[in-house]
Amino acid sequence: MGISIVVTSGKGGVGKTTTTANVSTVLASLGKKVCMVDLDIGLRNLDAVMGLTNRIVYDIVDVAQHRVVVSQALVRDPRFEDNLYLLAASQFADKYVLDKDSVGNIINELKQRFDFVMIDCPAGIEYGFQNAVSIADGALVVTNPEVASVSDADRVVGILENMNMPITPHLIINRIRKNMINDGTSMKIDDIVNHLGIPLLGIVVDEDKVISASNTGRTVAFDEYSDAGRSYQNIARRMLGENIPLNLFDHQKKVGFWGRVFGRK
Amino acid sequence: MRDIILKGDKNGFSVLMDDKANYVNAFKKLKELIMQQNVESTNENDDVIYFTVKTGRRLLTEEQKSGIREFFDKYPQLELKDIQSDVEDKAKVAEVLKANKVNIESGIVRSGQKLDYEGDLIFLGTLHRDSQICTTGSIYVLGEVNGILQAGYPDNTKAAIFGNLKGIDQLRIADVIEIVTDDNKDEFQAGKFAFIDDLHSISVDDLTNYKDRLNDLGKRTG
Repeated sequence: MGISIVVTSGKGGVGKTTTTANVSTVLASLGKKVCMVDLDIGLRNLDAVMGLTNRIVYDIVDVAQHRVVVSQALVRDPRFEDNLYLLAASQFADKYVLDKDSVGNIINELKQRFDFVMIDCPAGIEYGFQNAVSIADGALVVTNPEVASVSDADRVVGILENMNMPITPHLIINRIRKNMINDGTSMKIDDIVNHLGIPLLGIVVDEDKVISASNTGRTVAFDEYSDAGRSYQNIARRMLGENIPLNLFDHQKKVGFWGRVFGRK
Repeated sequence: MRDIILKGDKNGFSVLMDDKANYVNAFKKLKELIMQQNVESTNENDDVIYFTVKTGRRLLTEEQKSGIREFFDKYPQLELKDIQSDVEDKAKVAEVLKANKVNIESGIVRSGQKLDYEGDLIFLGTLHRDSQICTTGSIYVLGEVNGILQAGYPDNTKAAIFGNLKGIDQLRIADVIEIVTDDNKDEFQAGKFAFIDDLHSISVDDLTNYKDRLNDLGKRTG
């Protein structure tokens, strides 16, 4: 029996879908059986980021309304052998066709078959969010180093704490701007972690490669020259219990003259 | 012991009802007693005689109280001042205890959360932006506050907010609201207290001056 983990943030555009895609693909590449579930009904993106849109035949609404069984609606990602599947959201139905029971049944069925069920949560804290978080065993709270995003994450953590999930929510700070950290104009990582008071799972720098990779239906995690990609690798490994130190300062390290001459990768 | 005892003092007469006696018998004896008194003083020019009924450790029901009042109403020369008991009923006591209770809260109050307390609060935790704490009494802040603190809700102007006020967004005491802006935020530091001053607006002073202020607060609120 696997575990279900919801990726949530409150605020939109902080990188929930990107995080879901990257963490899921890394877990799959490490040999775990992973199913991604997109619960952003009506505004589905996860399939596009994964480059799987053309393979979707049935979606989660078809399953919830018993037109097909779960296994028929799962889309296999051919790049990860038999390890990675996607249950897409519906782009046509509205979100009120799902309720906690129907979503719960689907997730529980998937937990029998997969090690990880990664749930991509819609933005906001309304109906779709409630459905997504009510059935999850754990949560990844994604935030950006900016006041609005941290404030929404705070609200979400408060709601999650009241739900008493079996696994405590963990934090991912996404879209860190290296130059702003170096200037000292960004919110400090330590301040955000102290403020939210939940364990930090990883930090991810803001990179053009993240966007260009998802535009072509790939995930940045397998780009070995990408800092963000390496961060996602580390996050997934930490989820599996590996003890990888947080490389907070790797991102800030300025390369000196001799380093530039001799130390170039 | 007799069921009722009549005592007199400068405020008039007191009738002590023995709380171990049967109430019906005691009330009957009270009636007999008053009737005797009445027979002996029929002069209309006499001053009104005041009575206080004391029920000891017995709590009378509203019916019993109105029975006594109706009985006294029949005699224009006699006036029932009060029906007193040495005890209070549980609900009333619980209410009083609650209002005087000191609550302790630690932990994080997150955005969108609101905590309500009866009585005073010692706050050891962290109050985030967009969250609120509301008490009927005073608040003592030992942790960090960024959100909104409401003391003395809804109308207790005696309440105050003590301690570390650094970083607070808004203070509310009773019906007065103080917004902390760039202009006045220097007043709100650690070791301060906020209270309602004579002009019915919120003032801030050092905790070390609290004793002097206490006098003012005491005078004003009686």
